[in-house]
Amino acid sequence: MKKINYNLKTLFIAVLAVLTISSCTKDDNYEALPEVRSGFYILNEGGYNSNNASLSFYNLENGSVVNGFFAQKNGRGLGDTGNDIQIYGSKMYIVVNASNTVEVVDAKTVKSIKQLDFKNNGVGRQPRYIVFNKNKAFVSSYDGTVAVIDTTSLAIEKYITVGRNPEQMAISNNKIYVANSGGLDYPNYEKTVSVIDLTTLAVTKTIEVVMNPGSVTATSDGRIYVKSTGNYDDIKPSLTIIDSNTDLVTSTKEFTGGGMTIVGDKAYFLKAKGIMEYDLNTDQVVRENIITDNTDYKIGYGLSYDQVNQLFFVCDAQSYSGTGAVLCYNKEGELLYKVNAGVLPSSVIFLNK
Amino acid sequence: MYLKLRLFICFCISIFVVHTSYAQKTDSLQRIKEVVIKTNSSPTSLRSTQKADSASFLKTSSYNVADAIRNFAGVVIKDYGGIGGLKTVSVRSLSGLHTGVQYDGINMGDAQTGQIDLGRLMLDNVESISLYQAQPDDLLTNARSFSSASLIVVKTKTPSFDKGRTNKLLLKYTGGSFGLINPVIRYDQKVSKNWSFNVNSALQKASGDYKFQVMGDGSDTLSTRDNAQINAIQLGSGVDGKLGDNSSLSVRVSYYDSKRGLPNAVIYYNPTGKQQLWNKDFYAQAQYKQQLGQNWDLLVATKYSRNYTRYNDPSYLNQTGELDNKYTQNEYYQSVATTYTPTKNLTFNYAADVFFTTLNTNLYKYSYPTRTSILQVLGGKYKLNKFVFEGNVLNTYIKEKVKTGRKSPERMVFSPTFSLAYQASSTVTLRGFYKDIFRYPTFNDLYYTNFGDRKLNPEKTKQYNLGMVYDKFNDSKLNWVSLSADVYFNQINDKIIALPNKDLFIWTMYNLGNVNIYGADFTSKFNYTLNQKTEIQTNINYTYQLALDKTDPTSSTYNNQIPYTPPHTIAFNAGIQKQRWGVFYNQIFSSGRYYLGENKPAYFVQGFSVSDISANYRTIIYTKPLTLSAEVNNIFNLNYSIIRSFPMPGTSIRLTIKTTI
Repeated sequence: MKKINYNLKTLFIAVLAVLTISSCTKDDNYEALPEVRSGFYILNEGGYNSNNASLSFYNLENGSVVNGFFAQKNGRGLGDTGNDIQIYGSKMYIVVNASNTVEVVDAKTVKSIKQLDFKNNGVGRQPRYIVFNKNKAFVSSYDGTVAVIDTTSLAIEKYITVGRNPEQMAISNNKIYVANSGGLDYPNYEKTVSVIDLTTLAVTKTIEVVMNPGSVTATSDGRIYVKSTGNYDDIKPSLTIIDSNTDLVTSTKEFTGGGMTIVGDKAYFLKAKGIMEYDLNTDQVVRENIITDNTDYKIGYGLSYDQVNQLFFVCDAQSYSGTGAVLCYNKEGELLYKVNAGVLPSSVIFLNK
Repeated sequence: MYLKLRLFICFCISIFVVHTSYAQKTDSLQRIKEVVIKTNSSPTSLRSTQKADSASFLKTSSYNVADAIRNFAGVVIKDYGGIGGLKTVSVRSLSGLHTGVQYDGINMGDAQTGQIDLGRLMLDNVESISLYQAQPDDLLTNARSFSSASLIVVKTKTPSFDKGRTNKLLLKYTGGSFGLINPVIRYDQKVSKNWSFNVNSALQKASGDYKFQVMGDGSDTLSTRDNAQINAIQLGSGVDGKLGDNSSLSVRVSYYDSKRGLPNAVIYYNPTGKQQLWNKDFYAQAQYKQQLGQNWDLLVATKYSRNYTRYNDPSYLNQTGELDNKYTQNEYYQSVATTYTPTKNLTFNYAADVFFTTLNTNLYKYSYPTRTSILQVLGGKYKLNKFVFEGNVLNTYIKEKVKTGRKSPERMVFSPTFSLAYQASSTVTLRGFYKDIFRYPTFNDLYYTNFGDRKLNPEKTKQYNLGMVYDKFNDSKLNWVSLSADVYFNQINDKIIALPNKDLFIWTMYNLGNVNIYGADFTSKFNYTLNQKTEIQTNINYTYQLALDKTDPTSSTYNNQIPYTPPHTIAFNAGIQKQRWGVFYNQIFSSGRYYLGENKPAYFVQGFSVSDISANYRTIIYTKPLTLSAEVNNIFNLNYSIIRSFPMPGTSIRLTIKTTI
């Protein structure tokens, strides 16, 4: 036990320990074994031009945190501007924007398996986000492409051309919805979502949304929530909902909130002060802030939810000029513990045992 | 290794050749004496002024103004590396934005960024560079020179002609590593007894590439710093003359045109970067000086300057496939300064400056600001027995106009400065000063984006300084010793900081930071005469800086040393000057510092200790004086960086030949 935050976390760990012990004694071949977390990774974006993107690992068994985990395991840094992190199968994928790489590592050991290069004739494509479907990874890049990667061979098989400066993607009804932001074209931002058919791997439709879309999330019943930043002027930040059965826009409204996370029939958004709860059935804000214990973070930079342990994780950039932190909240909105991370923590990804 | 060896051999040969092949007969001894006497005659400064003259540029292996002042105490040069890399100077941890630069009598301004790139100011036309704390020593100066926490004054060469001559042609050629080619030509012509003019031109061309080691990406081979080329031309002309016995006029016109690559920060796994920067800077200025009777002196100055900057990134992933930004700054400047000396011990000074600054860009929906600045300073200097008291108040009035959006509000600020010196004995002077000043937000702070707050306050500084000077001259072998020690406390309030606002997407400037700086500067100079022909000269300067973030007690950066502020800096220069030749060794030591506001080992940037050697040789061939000099910089090929991710070059060499016809 290297470091403990004395609060509810101790109890939480004790519960986990019991769970852990009981799961270990069971037969590993047993199929319906419940998911058990051994810890979580924090992707720290790092400062632009600073080569200090990093990975932190928080060990749930002993409450210890290791910063600079990727560098420690591989003898080299992640690079510049870590933008997205996902685990698929036994591999973890880290999208590093300014270094123009996707680092593929073993999810448990973080040992490098392959570094995928995202340069096109020496010019960086600027990879942004990654999603997965049936042993294929899809990486959106600012050069207007979505790369198709085989998750076994790790070969880049194809680049699908989408709109300008694509950001997030979501999968629903055998289709990928890609938010084309045009973010590098101030003030002429893009205002479309490209629809890629997962069978043909071709763009089948382009749907118009509000200017400068960046975030896309799919609900379990096939609705696509697209958040747009607008143009910082007369076009305000907005939320557009697309029906993935018809690929038609069903509603659009002004809306602000970061990091959409779906939990059952609720969605949660990060606000400047607090986590906002939103009902997906009524499409209304339920509560402006679910945090109940008056705790606070300085600069919310990312929101993640652990479906297994039913916990929220808020990434706090803090001063922007040093170490960030990750705050863990339970569903009741109470702060359980706080983990010191690297520079600009932006996402949390959970590791199963 | 091979390169290093080759450079060393070159260096040795050059020294050997110049040492053995040329005839004796020189005026170098006289020159040294001249320098000593000049420094001796200047009174002890009330505010720890430091000065480098053209003779010292050779000793400190200086190629530009930034190099020439890097040995000064209290100075931290921010150097992005390479010949074309940005070099700014922060004095006493107040940041480069609080350092004013006066060139040729009139201040240089950059209302857009607030930064003057000292790496671009070449030394060919420079007579001396002085660093003043708080204000200039000479009270007959424009009001703007009182408006920054510290001031670098670059004095250019005044025309001088050999006996019986009416013209002079200076030819200089410097070549060296990074493919550097740097020819300089200057022609001076005496038109009449009172009037002369000069034209000068310099070309600077370099590929700029150098090898460096990338740290932390797992590679163990050397990388090449690419896209560091520079191509610059400088053209200048001046007219100097006397209008009667008591007045003089000097007119200058200058044009600088450059195109350079901007090497990116070193980014792991992506060693690309094709950004280019163009500069076209023009100015024309005139200064008129008049003595009105015994007691009055008048200085009138006018200047027009136009600075054009173009930045291009051809790998920007937008619709046009490039980012192409253009900025044009215009400044119209007028100044009147006067001093009145009713008695020998009392001087009053008053100066008023009016200037208009505009910025044009091709940015979408830009504000197109016009700033009107009116600065007035009123003060005086009084000597009473062994005391000297100096004080002034600067009044700043700033008003802005914009074409679109909100404008920054009108401002009127009074800023006082007080200095006191006490001559404790013939060799020891005690001194102290207080200054309250601010930096006005730059156009980038205020108008870079069309959103955000325009109600930024000026960034305020307060300086408190106490010090002592020990100066001793005598005829013994150790003929000159000068020591000074100053301790100071500086405070920055309302520091302008960029932070994302509540939407997270938009960065906004805030007046958020507070910094307390506790520092000490120590300077020393020794001149030792071995024999009539040989002098040994040594300078050691030491700086201590404790610059603590006092912004937010709940923040992890609270009470931490601010970024890029080494606690200890030592500059050492030693050499031997004979009649014909001199050899000098220069060393800069900087302790480690942090690149972020939080002082964690992960954010630590290693300190460095860089050594340079220079040699000069003077002779006369066919009655023409000839100077040869050779410099080897970073002789131990240290791999280091001043700004993290911007590596500095390894061992490099420069050779210069200079003659006057």
